[in-house]
Amino acid sequence: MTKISRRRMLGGAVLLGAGATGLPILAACGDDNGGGDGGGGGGSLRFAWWGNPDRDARTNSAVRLWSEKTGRNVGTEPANWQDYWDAMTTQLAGNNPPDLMQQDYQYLKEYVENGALLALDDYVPDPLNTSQIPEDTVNSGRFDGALYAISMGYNTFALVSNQGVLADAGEEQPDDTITWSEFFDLAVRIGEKTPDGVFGSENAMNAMEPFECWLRQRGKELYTADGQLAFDAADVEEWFNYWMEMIEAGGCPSTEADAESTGALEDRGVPKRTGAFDFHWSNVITAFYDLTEDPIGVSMYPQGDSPGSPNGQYYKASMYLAVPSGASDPEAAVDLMSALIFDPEIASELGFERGIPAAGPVREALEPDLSESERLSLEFVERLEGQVGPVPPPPPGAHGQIYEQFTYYSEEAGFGNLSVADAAAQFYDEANRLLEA
Amino acid sequence: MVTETRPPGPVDRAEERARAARMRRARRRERRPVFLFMGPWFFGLFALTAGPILASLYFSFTDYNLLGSPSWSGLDNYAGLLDDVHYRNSLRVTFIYVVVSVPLATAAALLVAVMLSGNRRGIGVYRSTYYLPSLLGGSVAIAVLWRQIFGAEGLVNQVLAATGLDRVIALVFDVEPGTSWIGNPKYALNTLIILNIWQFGAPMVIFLAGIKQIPQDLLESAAVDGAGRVQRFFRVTMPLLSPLIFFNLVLGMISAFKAFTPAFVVSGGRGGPADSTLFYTLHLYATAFRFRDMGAASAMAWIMLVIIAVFTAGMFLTARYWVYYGDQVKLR
Repeated sequence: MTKISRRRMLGGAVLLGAGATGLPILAACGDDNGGGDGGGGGGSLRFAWWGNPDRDARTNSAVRLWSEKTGRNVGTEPANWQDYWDAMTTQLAGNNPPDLMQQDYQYLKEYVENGALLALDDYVPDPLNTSQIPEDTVNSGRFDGALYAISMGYNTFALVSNQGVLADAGEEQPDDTITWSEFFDLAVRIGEKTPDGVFGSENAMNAMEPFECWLRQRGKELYTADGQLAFDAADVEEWFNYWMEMIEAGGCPSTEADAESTGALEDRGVPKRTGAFDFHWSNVITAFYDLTEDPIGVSMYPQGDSPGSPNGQYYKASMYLAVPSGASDPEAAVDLMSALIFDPEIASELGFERGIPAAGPVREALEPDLSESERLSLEFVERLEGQVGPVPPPPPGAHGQIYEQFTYYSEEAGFGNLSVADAAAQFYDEANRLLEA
Repeated sequence: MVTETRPPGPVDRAEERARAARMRRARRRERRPVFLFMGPWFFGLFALTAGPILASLYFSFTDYNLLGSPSWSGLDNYAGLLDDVHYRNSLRVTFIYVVVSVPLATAAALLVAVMLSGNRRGIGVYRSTYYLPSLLGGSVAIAVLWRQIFGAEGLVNQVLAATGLDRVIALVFDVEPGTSWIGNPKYALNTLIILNIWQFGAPMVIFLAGIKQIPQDLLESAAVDGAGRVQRFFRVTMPLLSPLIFFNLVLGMISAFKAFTPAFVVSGGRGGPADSTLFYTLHLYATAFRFRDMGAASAMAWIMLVIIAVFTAGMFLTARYWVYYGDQVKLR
């Protein structure tokens, strides 16, 4: 008898507990002002980012340094890219956001337009000394004149190569002048001269980043400043055809092999020694270094075939930090943000993992003890200085969904369910429909 | 309310009434803590279950991106689904999954239950072994394992290559050796169907219990009348088990409509390749959290409710033609 009643008590306690956690969420649902509790004080801060184990370790140790300095506790909430955005939208909808969050160029505009982020202008220049960062980079976090996010570092497109595979095929690391048609021939040659299952290139048919670079080389963009498509269906068709022919010629893996891959770094051809080239961002160089024994090479994405076309590269401000407008203690959040971006001692804990640090003094503090991969990455990005083009306008909110359509229609074409022309046309219509909605 | 055993006389009527009132008061007093103790459960029901359900009904008529506040949009979400090629794909994939995997899983459960119904030595070990997959099956670990088994260099292809069966399959079914079963949209859904069939443990246990209930004399008299094993199964066992078959089909169907985890893990959350494993729930989840269109996702959830209700009702309608309960007499 006593046993049963105790179990009931426990059950009741669990339900009460569940109810209690539900309560603030529900209470907050009705609150449209997004005020947060405003209590602040000495409580714990929450800092959320997306990343990988390496980034999580580096970020945690940087945050620990800040905690020791200021005596404030920080609860860190790392997640992978996809789970991170699911969690952020849910927390924002429940008016329970972290105090400091990592942001991406892809989502910034939408968050700002929905009033989810705090304007940071009151905190410039103290503690946010933005003069240490190139003006273009700062402005990429500015919307309608107000500053909402600051970039931690920047990247650029990088054609990363496994030089071991290149050597096996008797080929040389190309320089920045290789064109798309030369790259096609090179990839096919590597495919022929290496054993089955080893390819010249990664299959990038469904990847919008190299497609963007390829568009920029033709004087186009993915989107206009007002969020419309800035290319034609014919461009998509030509892009799909380039890769369909590459698959056919044995220069890159089939659509089927590509569909099976999870896309995780360790699953890609270059670190697995099954591919000579991969289309990626420059900050990935250090990760590839850790994953393979082979030497890694890097160059710009292939160039446009018509002479004199721009190289399509730009400096992408890679990871932003922003303070949600519902943060419980914005002052402290901005202070932590400032430490992670500007404080040479704390920010250097992060290394090059989030790209080349945006702030000059942080870069200088890191320079003396760079690892080989970090030096390669830094040299590549610095080599492009003066050659990169303007930063494209921020993508519209539907970009994530449009990207998935791009992947879907490239698969429809790749598996032969649709002709390349139909797939390109249907993608184009679908993308326009999503932008109108 | 109070049942009287004898007609009350005029004398003790007042006393009766007083006693009844006392009883009522006492009962009410007892009831108070009952509601107190049930309170948390009711709170949970309304705040955590009924509340969100009603909220989703409201959201389904709004444009709601989770960041801003919802704005009324009438039937736009429902109309928009008609234009969505992925929504149609997800319906097709889910229907195929339900229609193929549920009958097969039920049949497998019945077959294995019949095989394990005897009283041989070590039968308990066999039963546990066959039940095991359904304990593991819904888990992420198994779905990850499935990727390994059905990948291009997975276990299936290695076995096929080692036995030379891959060339036979290539000839008969026109499948190239070394095909990635999860990377090819023609076969990816089949691997998930196999995963579902493999988890026949729960219905199997129910069938086992049902088989034990079948009166031995019926089977014996059928045997005396000259019925063989197969005839006894189809003429005696199957009809007597038909209520359980029905029960398992309905439950299996509902859970197959709601399947999420295996497709999410095997396809890396995308339902690919080319939407071939885009389960309804997967598309719903992506719409809600990845595309931040909670309005459309809520509309999808309510349509799913209607679909499941219609299918379940349909099965109940067919049931009277093939489900026999013990107390019914069937005349031919």
